[in-house]
Amino acid sequence: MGDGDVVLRRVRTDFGDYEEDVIAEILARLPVKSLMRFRCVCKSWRALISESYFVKKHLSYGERGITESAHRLIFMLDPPLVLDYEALKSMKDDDYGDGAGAQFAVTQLDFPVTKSIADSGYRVGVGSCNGLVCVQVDFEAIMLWNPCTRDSKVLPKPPRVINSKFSYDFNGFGYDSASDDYKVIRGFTDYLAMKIMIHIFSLKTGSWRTVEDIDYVTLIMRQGLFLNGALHWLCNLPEGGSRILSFDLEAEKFQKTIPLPYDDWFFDHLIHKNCLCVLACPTRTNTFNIWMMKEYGVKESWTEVLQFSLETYAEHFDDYREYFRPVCILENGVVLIDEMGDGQHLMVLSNLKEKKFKHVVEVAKNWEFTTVIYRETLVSPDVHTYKTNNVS
Amino acid sequence: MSTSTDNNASITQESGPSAAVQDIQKKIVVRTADGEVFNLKEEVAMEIDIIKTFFQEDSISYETVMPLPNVEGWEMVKVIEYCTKHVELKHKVDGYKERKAFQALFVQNLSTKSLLALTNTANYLEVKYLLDFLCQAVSEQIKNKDVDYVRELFGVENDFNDEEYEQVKAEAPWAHENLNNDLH
Repeated sequence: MGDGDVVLRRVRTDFGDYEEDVIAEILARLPVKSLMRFRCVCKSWRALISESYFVKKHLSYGERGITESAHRLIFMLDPPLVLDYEALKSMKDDDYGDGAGAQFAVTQLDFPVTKSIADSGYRVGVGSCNGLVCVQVDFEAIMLWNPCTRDSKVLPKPPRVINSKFSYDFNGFGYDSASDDYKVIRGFTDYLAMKIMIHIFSLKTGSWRTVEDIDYVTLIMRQGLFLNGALHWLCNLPEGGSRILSFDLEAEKFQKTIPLPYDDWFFDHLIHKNCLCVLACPTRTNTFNIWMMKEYGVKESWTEVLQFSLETYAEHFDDYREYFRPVCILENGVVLIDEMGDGQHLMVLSNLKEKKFKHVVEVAKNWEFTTVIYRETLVSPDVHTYKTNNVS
Repeated sequence: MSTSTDNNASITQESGPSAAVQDIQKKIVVRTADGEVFNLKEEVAMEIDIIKTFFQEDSISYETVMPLPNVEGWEMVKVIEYCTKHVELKHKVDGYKERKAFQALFVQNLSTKSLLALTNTANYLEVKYLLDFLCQAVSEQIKNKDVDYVRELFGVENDFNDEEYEQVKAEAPWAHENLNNDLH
């Protein structure tokens, strides 16, 4: 190659005796902690580990199950608490000793310290995607955070809401694969005018835009669930009935609402095995049903996957719905956040037959908090730190 | 006449399902960098893309001895061993356990350095499944190791000066601590 040649290929840095492709193939299978350490090996390794194509390769290996990329569950407290989500999901009946029950290991995380925003410790988890966690700090500021690499970025302030009739009602965070862009949604409802307005932030452009005049629905869930390129919230229609509202991140539009299993009130949602699930608790009973939409958007594919009753746990109670939040579905049970009684606890029902509920973590004492599940990745919240060595 | 070191697997006359037309399996001959010559069963040779491509040329006959100047004899032995097993298990319905046992033994008998040398070989010879397997094995062996170990293993020079090194390290000091810790 002469001096005048334009370097069209990916910059070939020196990897000694080994081809860059081989090094990348080995490194892409490593956990994030190892990679953060191996950035110190030499300059070309450091460059490789930050490269956009490498980060994506590493991410895809985790998504495809080629590597075991750990999932963790955060309780967005001050400081945030985190636990191993995989270990939680694989809890079995025999994990309990006699009586006392197993306790679950929980670690404290250091929340990023930033000078640019006020942080009183009130943080709300908006959502998580590809290892990035979106957190709202003190009502106004939004931050993207990778708890694994400890990298963080405060986003520019959202637009001011002039019309005071709008109240901040819902939010969401997700990934638009078509434009390789991460997006944040903040939603406002004006009940009297029967309108919804949203702010959308695009990480790529670094700016917010406003979409107004959206038809009104009553949102039941504040935190949107990201699945299949769209954000989802449980809502009630003005004319009656519950539906799932979905916002397509590529089109940046609300789609047709998704029907629920039957005509009744549903009040919580989660994702299990890459499918949307909803929780129902028929009034004046203490039974919970979890339904899973096995085929996205297909009403007939809703299947009841779990049913449990709290009668052995809490008697004499008319309406349990407000006090229990599902966290994940087990092979033969469920994990809930129990907000009845003294503080909030993480509670496990690991064997439907036995109907035994065990508190495994005392999360907080009477403190409202959100939860977020994130995966271990190298994805940086600051898109500008990526080197764009695009070959094509 | 060149001295030929017949690979053991190619000597045993197994009645393979790829009977095709002849009873005698066609052999393909390669010569590695150190002058060793290997006779490969055709079906094993065809697992190795660089060999497959070479012999698919119209003008090349199977009598030709293909040179492999980037491969050492011992590496060829291991590659043949792995590909032969792979071909054998292709025809088996329930080969999962056997494959796992074979892979464990394969790795056990090689140092990390040798495994790493083989990744280069698998990459050069273009045997994707072997490359993936070896890269996975190497990554598992290095994931809890420190920076010095990795530099030595890969034969990489530290081109950071002291100040630069401290700076990079300071970006994630926690990554250098508790090298056997599971959660963060």
